Amino acid sequence: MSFKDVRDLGEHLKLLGFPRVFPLQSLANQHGSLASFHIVAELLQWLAGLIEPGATLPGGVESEEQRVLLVRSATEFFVTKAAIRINPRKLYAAAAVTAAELQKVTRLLTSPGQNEADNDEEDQRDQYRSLNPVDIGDKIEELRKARELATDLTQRGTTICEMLSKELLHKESLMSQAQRPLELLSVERTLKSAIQANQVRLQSSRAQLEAAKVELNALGSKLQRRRAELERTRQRLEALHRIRPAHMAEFEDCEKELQELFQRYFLRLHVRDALKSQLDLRTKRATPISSPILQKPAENSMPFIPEGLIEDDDDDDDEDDLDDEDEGDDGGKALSRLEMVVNGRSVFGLDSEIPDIRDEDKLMQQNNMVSAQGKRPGTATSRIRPTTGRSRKAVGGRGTAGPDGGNDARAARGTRRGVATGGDADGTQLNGRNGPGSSMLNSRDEDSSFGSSESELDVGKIMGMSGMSGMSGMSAISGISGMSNIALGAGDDDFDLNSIDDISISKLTGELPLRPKTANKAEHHSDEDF
Amino acid sequence: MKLKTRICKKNSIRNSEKVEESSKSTTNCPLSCVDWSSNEEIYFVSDDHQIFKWSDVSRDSVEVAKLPDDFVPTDMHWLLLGGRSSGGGKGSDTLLICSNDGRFVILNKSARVERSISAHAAAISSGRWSPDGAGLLTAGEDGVIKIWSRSGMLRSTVVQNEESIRCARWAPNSNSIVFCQGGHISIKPLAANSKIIRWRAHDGLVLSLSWSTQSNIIASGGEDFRFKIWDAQGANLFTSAAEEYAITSVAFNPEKDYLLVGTFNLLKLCHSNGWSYNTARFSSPRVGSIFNLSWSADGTQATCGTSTGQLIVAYAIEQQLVSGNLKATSKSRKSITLKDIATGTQDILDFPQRVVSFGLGYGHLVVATTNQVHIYNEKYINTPIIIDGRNDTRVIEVGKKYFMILDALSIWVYTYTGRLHLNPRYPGSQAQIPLLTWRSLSLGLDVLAIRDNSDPTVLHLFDLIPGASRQYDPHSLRAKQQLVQIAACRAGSPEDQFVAFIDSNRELFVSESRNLNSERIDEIYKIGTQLTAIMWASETNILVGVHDSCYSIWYCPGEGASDPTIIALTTITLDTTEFGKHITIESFEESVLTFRSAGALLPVNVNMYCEILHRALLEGQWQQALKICRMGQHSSLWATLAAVATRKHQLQISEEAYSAALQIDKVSYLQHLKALTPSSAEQMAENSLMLGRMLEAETILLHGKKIEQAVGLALRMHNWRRALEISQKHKGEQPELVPRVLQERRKYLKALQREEWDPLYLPLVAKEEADNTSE
Repeated sequence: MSFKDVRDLGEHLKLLGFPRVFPLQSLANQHGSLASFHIVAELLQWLAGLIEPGATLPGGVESEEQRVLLVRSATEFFVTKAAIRINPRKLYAAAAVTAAELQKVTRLLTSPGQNEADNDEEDQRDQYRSLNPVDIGDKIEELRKARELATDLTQRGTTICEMLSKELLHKESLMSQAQRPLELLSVERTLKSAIQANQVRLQSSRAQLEAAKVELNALGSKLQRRRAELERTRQRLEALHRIRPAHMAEFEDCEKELQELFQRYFLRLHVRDALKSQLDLRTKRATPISSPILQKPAENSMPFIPEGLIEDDDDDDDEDDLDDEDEGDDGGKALSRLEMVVNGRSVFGLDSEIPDIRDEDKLMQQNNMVSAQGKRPGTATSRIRPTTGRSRKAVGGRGTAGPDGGNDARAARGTRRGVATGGDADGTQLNGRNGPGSSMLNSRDEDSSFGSSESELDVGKIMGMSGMSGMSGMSAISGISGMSNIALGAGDDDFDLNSIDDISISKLTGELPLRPKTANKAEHHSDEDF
Repeated sequence: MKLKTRICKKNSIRNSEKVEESSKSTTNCPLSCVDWSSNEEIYFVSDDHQIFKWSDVSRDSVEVAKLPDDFVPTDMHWLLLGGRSSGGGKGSDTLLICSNDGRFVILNKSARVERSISAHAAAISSGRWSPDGAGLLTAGEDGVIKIWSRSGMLRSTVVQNEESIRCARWAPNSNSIVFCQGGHISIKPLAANSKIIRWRAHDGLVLSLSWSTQSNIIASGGEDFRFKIWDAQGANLFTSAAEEYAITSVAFNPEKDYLLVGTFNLLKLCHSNGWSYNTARFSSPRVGSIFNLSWSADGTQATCGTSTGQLIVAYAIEQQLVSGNLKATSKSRKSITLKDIATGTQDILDFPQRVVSFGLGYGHLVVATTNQVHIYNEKYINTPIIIDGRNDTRVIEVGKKYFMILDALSIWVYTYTGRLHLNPRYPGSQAQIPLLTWRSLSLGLDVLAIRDNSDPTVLHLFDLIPGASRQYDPHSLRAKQQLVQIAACRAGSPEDQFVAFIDSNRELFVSESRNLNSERIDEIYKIGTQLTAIMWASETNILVGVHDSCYSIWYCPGEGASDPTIIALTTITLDTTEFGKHITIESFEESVLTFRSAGALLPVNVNMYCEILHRALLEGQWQQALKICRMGQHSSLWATLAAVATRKHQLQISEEAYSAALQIDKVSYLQHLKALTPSSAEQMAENSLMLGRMLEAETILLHGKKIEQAVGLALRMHNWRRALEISQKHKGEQPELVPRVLQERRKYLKALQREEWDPLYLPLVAKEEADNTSE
């Protein structure tokens, strides 16, 4: 808050190599001016270029909006790139207080170089210090070697003296043993015992080899029997594939009725979202400050539509390959996840205006947690798919926080909204599942012959589950407001494609015993939601 | 002149900074407060709130004290009350440190805080002790300058303004304050009812100021990459060329004519006129801008505080003095090279201590180190004479018979054998010792002239003749204006000793410095105007002076001072446009005059015949002098001869000289003189009249009992009162004198056609009329 800050800032700029002359007079007063702001704007651009080469801050100095944009973008840039918190109000002042804020950036840029110089000096001093210990260490080692050699010499001398004195005593024993004759009988006995030991070891090795051969023959016979059983099972499976199940025509009629009901439901959702957006528009005009925040999600929602179309193309490819059921399922899930992300982004904008919706989001989030836990012990397939979906949600959350986060508080707030977005997507999915569940129960009560045979019952339940998953994808599409035409087209295509896929799935997975449990839990959730 | 710089390492600082690095991320704080506490110690405070002391002996920094964390220092100044002693300072020395939040603290020598005062509402930009030590000033960024007593009491608020003050400095006489606001510089006298002087100095901000103590000029460094030099009235004397960066600091040398200028990565040593001696550039490591400059008290070394926190110590070396065939050059801090071009020898003189100053002249080299003085004779280089105990030598003046040393204690006059000749004292001299500079002193042949610092119009003249009765009782000469520069003549006979001085109106005056008569009457004659510098010749009484665009040579300034005609005839004025601007006189040895302009030396020859004529006259060779004049045939030669011959009562020679100089009136008067009786009282009196000494002539006649001639002299000069007094005093001896005076008075009144008005004559006239009536 004094001339000292302005002078120090000028010094930092000279040390960093600012190409133009920084006039101290421009900032050396308590009141800013437009000419001072020109200089501050140039400094901000140049400093941003230093921190990240090639970076350019949006905004300018011609109008107030551009100046505000420049200050805000500069503040965001320095927070994200260099972790420097700058007060934007002081930046906009373009006065003596601005120098103190800009020094936070220049001090960071100047200190590493000087620290390196200091480190070099310290290294030189350390080298100088290390030279002396090395010399002293060498001398100490020489001293230790000399002392060790002296001790060793003394000990060896003593040993030699002792040994020479003992030689006189052992001389007689040595002569007597050298002249003693060998006994032939003892030598023969020793050689025979050695031969017998070796023969015993040979016999035991042969016995182990025989046992191994027996085991090998047994394993060969087991393998042949297992191979024959596999061949018989495969022939039985092929026979079952050729049989068309009973009551298939009846199932197709029920599916058409279900499609008509879904179209009516979709129209209602579309009308509700349109009315809600109009209500938000009226509320939005009362608070114009937040309009830049809302514009960004709207702009960001555009790039996701082409990605959805790309996924549709993938489904067309899957239609040709009827046997590739796994790829078809993955494609459908991916498409639904992407659409949920789009839905979450648009809903994010709405939630930022109406605080009451947050409470509903929290409740849906709690239900989502319960449903997620229910999913996992169900099937192996369901364990893999939620993991992929969660990673996409996380990416979406970060993207949402980035452009909005001007400082740490805003970044944290954005992160929380990202979590709420995930909750919304899951809640929508729950809503989608409720309709087909109720319709299944009604159809089951009307027709008692549907559950008479075991195979027919399994096929019916599997077809119901497939229908629910398809409807959940289409309900996610309904979240887009202002895109009704494209959404409707996408919904129709998805519905048709999913029905074909379901038919092929029912044929292949007729014998899976875990499906009824999933259906039961679906009924449970529908009760809670209603 | 070169500038040798060294960047000091901060060994102990890094140890303490390592501890701080754990708490702080940045370790390099700007160093903006540096000052010398003695000639070997530097105190500095940087933004890490610690006071350090760097010593020249150990070349290391030691932490002295630690300031509070909210105390960001902005300025620092030492008050050295012990006369700038180099022994480490006395206990009464105090340190002033100002901070960024408007406070200043006063610490004593042991770094204990004596006072802590909240002085300003904004940051204090400058805090300085006054040169006389009576108080201190603080200038703040709130536009206020306050003066405090030494103990920290507020005395007065000098300046109250809205614009922030960037820098403020005292005047050398502690009577004014110069400060800068934005691009303007202002001078505020402290006297009541004095107007402020304000002028626009730089295109950008003025960043630093310095007021010279010995030449009374102001230097300023600005943001427009220039430094400028101003006089005390705001006139611009010098403007430098534009540098690459803003000039962040300027500092005048306290003892010599040097100016140190600091900018980004650059340090420049200049002359007081502005031209540059040397430039020290710092490329690796880069030090940043030099925020603060501080000269040591002896003026030989300076310290710099930089923006990167490095401390730089700079020494001025390669000083060079030339005298005749001798050249002395200081190669380093402790060695001097003495070269003799007559014999072709070169000697390197090494000294145990740092060389503070040295003087060369008359075949002798006098070198002052921190504690000793070494005297070298050019014939006996190997055996110098050493004088111990002279601390802090500041000025060395070399004369023909003696040399003079001004140190921290007193003024000393020595012979070249090392014997103390005189320790001059005058009223108040000891108190003025710290304030004397080389401009206040001048050593002549047998005279030492000292300007009184408390009253700059008084000039003390000490007689150096051995055994003189007035040796310890100086004669005081009083001028009308303040004296700016003094010059005592360095040669001549014992009877012809003169002193010349320039006053504040830049007018040149000449007066005799010794008078053998018992009664002394000071005659001060003005012989020149618009001068900036003067110097006497080393062997003759020839004076040279520099004007603004020309220089003048007075071949007979002392002997002919009483006669304006002689002065006009013996003065030669020459143009200096081809030399350049800001010319100073470097030396005047025999007949070679050396000027210096922007660093270039310009030797000029004076008239050779005049120089030889002076030598002949000095030895009394009148026939030789006549031959020289006839050979030269220049009017200045004849005028010089006439003046000296008249002074020496050589009537025949002076008559011939005046004839050659076409002074007809003087020739006829001299013929009248020759008609009188030789060596009589009348002739001596008339000769004194020729020299303009009326009182002397009257005295000669009265002592010779020539009462009638004395009255006649008074009547000729129309000195009526004096004539009547003398005639009435000697009425008993010669009663006819009174009627004669009355008769002459009547003739005078009849010529004027007036009645008697003099109260001394009225009773006599009335008495005479009464007598006539009775008859």
